[in-house]
Amino acid sequence: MCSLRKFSWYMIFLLVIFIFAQTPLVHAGEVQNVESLFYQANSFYEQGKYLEAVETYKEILQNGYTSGTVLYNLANSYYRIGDKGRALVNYLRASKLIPRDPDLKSNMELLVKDLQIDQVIGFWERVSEYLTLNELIMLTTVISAVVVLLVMLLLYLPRYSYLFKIPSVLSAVGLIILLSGLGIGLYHNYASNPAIVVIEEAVVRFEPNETGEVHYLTKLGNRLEIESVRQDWVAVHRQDGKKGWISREDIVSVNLDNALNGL
Amino acid sequence: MSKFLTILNVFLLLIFLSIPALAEEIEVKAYVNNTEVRLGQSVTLTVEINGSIDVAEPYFDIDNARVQYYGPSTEVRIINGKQSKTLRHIYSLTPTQTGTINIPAIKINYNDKNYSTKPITLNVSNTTGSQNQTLEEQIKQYVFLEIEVPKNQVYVNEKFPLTVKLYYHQSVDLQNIHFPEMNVDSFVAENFPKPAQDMELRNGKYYHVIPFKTNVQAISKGKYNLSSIMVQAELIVPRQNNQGNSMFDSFFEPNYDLIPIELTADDLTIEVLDLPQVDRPIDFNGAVGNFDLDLTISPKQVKPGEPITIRSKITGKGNFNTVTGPVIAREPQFKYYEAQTVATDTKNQNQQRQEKIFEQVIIPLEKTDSLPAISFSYFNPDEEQYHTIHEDAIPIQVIGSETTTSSPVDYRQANNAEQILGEDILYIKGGVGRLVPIGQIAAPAYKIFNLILGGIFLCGLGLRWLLNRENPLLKRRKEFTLRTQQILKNSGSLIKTGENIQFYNQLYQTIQNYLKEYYQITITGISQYETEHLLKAGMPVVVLEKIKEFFADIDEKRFAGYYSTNKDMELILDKAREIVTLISKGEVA
Repeated sequence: MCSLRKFSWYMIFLLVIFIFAQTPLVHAGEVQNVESLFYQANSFYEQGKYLEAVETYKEILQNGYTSGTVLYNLANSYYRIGDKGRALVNYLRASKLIPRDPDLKSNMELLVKDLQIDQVIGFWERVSEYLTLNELIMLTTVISAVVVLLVMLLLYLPRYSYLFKIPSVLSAVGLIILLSGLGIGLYHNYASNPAIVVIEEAVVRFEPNETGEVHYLTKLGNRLEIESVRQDWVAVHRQDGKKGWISREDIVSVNLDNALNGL
Repeated sequence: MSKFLTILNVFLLLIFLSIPALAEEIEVKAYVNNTEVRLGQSVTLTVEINGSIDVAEPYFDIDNARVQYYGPSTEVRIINGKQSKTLRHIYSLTPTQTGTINIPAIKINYNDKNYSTKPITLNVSNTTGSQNQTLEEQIKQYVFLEIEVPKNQVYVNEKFPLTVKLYYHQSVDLQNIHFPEMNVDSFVAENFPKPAQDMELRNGKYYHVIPFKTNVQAISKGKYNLSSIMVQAELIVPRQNNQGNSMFDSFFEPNYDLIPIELTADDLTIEVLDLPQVDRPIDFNGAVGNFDLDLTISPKQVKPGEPITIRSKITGKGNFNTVTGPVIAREPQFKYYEAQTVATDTKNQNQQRQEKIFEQVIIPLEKTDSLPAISFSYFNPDEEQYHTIHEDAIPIQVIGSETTTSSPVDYRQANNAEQILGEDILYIKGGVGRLVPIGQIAAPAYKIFNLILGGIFLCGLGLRWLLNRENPLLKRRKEFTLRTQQILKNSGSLIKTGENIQFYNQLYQTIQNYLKEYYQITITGISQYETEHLLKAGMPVVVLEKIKEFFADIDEKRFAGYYSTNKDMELILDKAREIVTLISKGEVA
């Protein structure tokens, strides 16, 4: 009986340790390389060598790492060379990692105004304007730990159950809300595949070839949803559901994984 | 043979059951709660049907009174095996004039037989001094409607604001206020937004005001009276206080009546004029208002056969429902597509400054250096004249086979628009920030942590189950708790049979045994020794106090058992149950 209690307290101790535990995200050597690339790119930017800055920031991404700041600086560099479509794409990517950053918000607002577009940000991006998926997962984990702790206390200390009943119900409700939000967030992250038009005016055709009849025109900065890829053509649909084919070179995917694979 | 007998029995049973229904007769009568009533107050009329509860409410009209049906009330009684059914249809009568009101014989048809009530006469008096005023006239002093329009002469398709103001005196109350109904021919109104209520002083009296605001347009010429715009509501009128009503009447019945009212405004005529034929431009398509046109051409350099988008933004105030895209002159060297509305901004509806954006694609079929002429005409009702905005020969470049559409565009060169001073992006950031591998949403630590968390949860539940299963003391306690609860349940039957002494003895014995089993202590009362023992065993003080109270009570009752009432016994039984519940839930060691 006594040993079982000791075991329970040991488990609770482990739980607390894990809450505050931080696992290193990247290896030290790789960090050094990435950081040196980052400072090199910043230096190019400061000298007005924006094309070189773009290439160097992209090298960080090609190494397999990203951060909100890298994407923000890359977007600024694109903006300076006049490629506003790619600038917008990278601001959107950055907003998934640093959604509350005021500089990012300001630059995005200016760019959206310049491009005279609206509805660049989808529903989920608006909902998750204050929390990244990583933060949501962290919060859900902490609340889960609290719920487990309270359930254990209810089970093992029934005499004091009156103390834990209300916190248990509240934290369980909080956990349900967070899990629902997390579910929606993950669904949008994996199910949605947005892309931005990066040329002044792109033609969306009925068929994936140059001779296909023009379906509609879409302008720089407009958002399209990618459905599938066929060689140099991408099947897309816009917000009103109109589907068509667009040249692969005319759009860039907001999803960084796809972008590295040539989309 | 047996099947035949079964069918026969069912048939006979049906016949037997239908006999009372066929023979059922009903009795019908009507009565009011008061025959003397003041104007503005109401009486309750009840139509009572004895013998059936399946009779629909009768419909009838009474001169000089409003009739409102409240609903049915049913009553079924069985006395000495005889069943009686009563159905009451309840109405509210509100006289609209002073004098005598005759409630006619109300007819009811039941099983193809007609029944009727006796007529009733009401005397309606007026003690407020306004003898000859109808109810409508009296209501109008407190609740009325006004309509406001900026002018009395408008043009066909001209959009103008209209406000329907509902006033009601602060001493009266309204409910179920409906949005105004536009019963005016040839007028089209936008939906009324939710109004904001306000107070207004008129003729030295404060009124609540609900202004319903909308924009309307007339679609054909003529003179129209806007007084037919109607607002429906229900006026809350306190009911006359009837003598002799019990407190339960006011509990079950509302002490007010609801008078449905339909409000209309005073006459307001508005004249709708046709748009003038004189000086009407050829390209005029019905736009009425005051507008500006802003054109954007994109791209300006194309190959023959490539599309050019003409984006027309029409801004201004007026009726945007009739605004169509600008007219592009037809020239043979262009292929034309239909203009499409791509956006309509109605956010500034209140300021009446709106915009509508059209896009039209045209394709140059051969080399040319300009677009066809573009024009937009509208009628300005304030100036009472037509205007035309012309955009002649906008330059474009139709070049050979070279393409330019796929290359990134230098915004500063492509866009000749002047940059606004002071607007630029914010500078880059100095620190690299939190680096994460691409594609990773959350740190792997969370996965491990959540797995461990799940493990802890399952282990905890498992351990608890094992502990409960293996602890014979807890098991035994659970068993005799159930047994004790069963004995207490059975003790209730002793109360019914009046065996008081047996009841108290059994109760005393049961609780004593329960405590003995639970705490291994024999309790005859609560002395210092027992108190210490129970507190040491982990019993909360609250429970201990309840046990003390129980033993004190039961000792007293056992000696005076014959003089106990059933209520006393039930109370002490409840106390015993409470003690068992508290101890079993508390899980004291």
